[in-house]
Amino acid sequence: MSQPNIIARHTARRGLLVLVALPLLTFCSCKGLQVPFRPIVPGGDAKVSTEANPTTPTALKKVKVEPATAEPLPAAQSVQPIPQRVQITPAPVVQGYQPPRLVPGIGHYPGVNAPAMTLPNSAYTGQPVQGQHPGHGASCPCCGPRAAFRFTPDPLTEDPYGGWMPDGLKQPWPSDEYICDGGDLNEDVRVKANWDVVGLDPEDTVAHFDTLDGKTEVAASNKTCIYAPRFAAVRKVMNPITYEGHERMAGVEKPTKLNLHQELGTPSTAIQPEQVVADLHIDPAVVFRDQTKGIGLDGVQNAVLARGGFMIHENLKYIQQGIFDASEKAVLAERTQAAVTWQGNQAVQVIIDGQMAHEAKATAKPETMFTYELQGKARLRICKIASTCDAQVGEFVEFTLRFDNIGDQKIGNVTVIDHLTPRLEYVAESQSSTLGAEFKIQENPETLVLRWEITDPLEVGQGGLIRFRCRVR
Amino acid sequence: MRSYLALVTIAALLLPLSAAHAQQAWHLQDTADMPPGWVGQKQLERGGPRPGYFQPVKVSGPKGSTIALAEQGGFALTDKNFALAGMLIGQVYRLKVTGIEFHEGEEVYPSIEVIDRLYPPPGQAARFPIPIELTTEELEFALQGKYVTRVIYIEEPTTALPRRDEPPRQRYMEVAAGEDPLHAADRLGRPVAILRMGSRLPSPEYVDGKFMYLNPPYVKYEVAPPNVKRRDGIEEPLEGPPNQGKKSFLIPRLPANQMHVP
Repeated sequence: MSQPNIIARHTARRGLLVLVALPLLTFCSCKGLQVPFRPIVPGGDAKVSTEANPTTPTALKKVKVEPATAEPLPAAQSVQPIPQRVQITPAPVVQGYQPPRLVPGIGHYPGVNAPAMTLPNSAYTGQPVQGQHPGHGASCPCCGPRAAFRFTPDPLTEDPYGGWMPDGLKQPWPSDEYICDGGDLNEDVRVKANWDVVGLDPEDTVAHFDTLDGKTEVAASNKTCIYAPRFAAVRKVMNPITYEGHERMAGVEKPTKLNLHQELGTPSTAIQPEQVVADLHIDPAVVFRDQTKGIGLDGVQNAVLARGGFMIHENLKYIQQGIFDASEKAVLAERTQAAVTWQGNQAVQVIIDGQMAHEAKATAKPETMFTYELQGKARLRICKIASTCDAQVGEFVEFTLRFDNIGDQKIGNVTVIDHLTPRLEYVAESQSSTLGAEFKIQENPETLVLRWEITDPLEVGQGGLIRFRCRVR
Repeated sequence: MRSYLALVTIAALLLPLSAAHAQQAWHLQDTADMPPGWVGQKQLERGGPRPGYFQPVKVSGPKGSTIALAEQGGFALTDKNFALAGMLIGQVYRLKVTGIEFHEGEEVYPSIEVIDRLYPPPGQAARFPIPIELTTEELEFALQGKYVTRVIYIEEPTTALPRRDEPPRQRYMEVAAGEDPLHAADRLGRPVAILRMGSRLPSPEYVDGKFMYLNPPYVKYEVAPPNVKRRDGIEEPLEGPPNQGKKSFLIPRLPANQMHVP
């Protein structure tokens, strides 16, 4: 073989090795870099087949829901006098409470008793430096020495990072610590001609309705998240070997010696093995299908219109009357986003500086709200709020669904469907509706689907309220 | 040439497998058999809001037992069967468990390594501690000379078991002998703490502090903090900082019906 051919072959071999080794090295070395290797992305990225979760009304348990006697919704609140400015007070201290104490350690621990690793003052972080006012104004609460509202009586236990989360990620973060319910996960909920609902994923809350021109439309609610982490464990028990010994025979003593013995005998009998002519066996069941049908739920549920009035977390015009008031936007955002607005150490505030108060817009929200100029279209708005932003295992959460016909034509066959996440357990007989509806429950192997079929059509501007209670598993 | 083609083919088949596994597992290079503190320190190297944060951990034992945390070279006197403390990530904390049923006078010294933290709402950190349960069975295993490793993880809510939890009892899964519990926990959720328990007793090296892992600092809760509920509604506006020595301009809050809404 000539010299140039040898060189070319050698070069080709080296090139192949580089092509093979480079990706392997990249994957192996990324762990050592400060680069999060696992993408922390909440659910919603993967597309699911629309045939995954069909919901057949015939398999559901039916409960007739009668509306309570018509009660006029409470009128608008009377004008309150201008409240006096209230000084910020620290969080209330419970009698007999002993605050935690720091038990010092031996040695130096960065961030605790030694200087933490910090950026130099000249580093740009996008945040104003303490004591400086880069154009935020004199009344800006994020700069200046004034401390923000304290959520705990123990300053020792405050998070020094104050609600940090990676940039560009969708809230809530981290998603494994939250239970979310609402919205349409993959935006693929469809209603077939035979009224089957497909694409209903766990955590979805949608409403479908029929329009006058014969269309069936789907409207999704906002997503409500509750901080409720749950833990489990993986265990391994090892029994280490503490002693190992080997025993072997030192020798064998045979006092008797066998002499040669030989005997020849002709076989007199022989056993002829019979060949199996048939082999009967029973195939055990290796797989079986078990369909657990839903248990029939008997009982007539009489909807009690807002038992004893509206609940504390429903003190909004948006929920009580379906009227969107801009002054309630901040509170509504807090309720609909629930735990999202609790991320940071800053409270929801309205700063008035002689101008109209407006809420700062954020791009990271679990829900999106659009305002349309409607011209001859049918629209159903459905809003979901939770009674609490965080819950421990075993606590109860009240969900409220407010739906309104905000289009300009009557809509019918309004059906509200809520597919509960496996972490939420529906409390039996806890649901109620202000409009006449047929309530059904469908039990899936791991989840539960709640369904309200509103009996009467919804006129333009008409709305209703649905409530139900869940227990956090 | 054929051998190189075979090598390229094998590498092409392995690369997507390793990528898929990397997307699922966070502790790809770590195992639960690592020395205590190793996994936590590796987590600190990854950055993020972990250094200096005291993650609340609640250790609960069987009824009648006492659990004490290491403090200043010794163990605090206590009569409670639980311990609630804020622990640093990457550090190892030694505990002392006494009063085990049918084993009076015997002691077990487990260790806890916190490898990740939670991100609770402000002021609610102590209400959502990492729960670690010491069962009577595991304590007896430790007294018999066995080595128990328990990796606590946060369950993924979308794939969670639809079954009620009964705190302080903690659900656990046992892995086979050849499987690593940290990798198993990584597949099921996000590991946050590792409990190691054996029959090791304080030895002469106790004096050096090695048995206590140099007594790292922690925030001790004598009692569980009260659930201080956040006030509903919009918070009162904050008073602005002093305007260069001038009197602050107090702005009264306007009610909703007087706010201009275009």
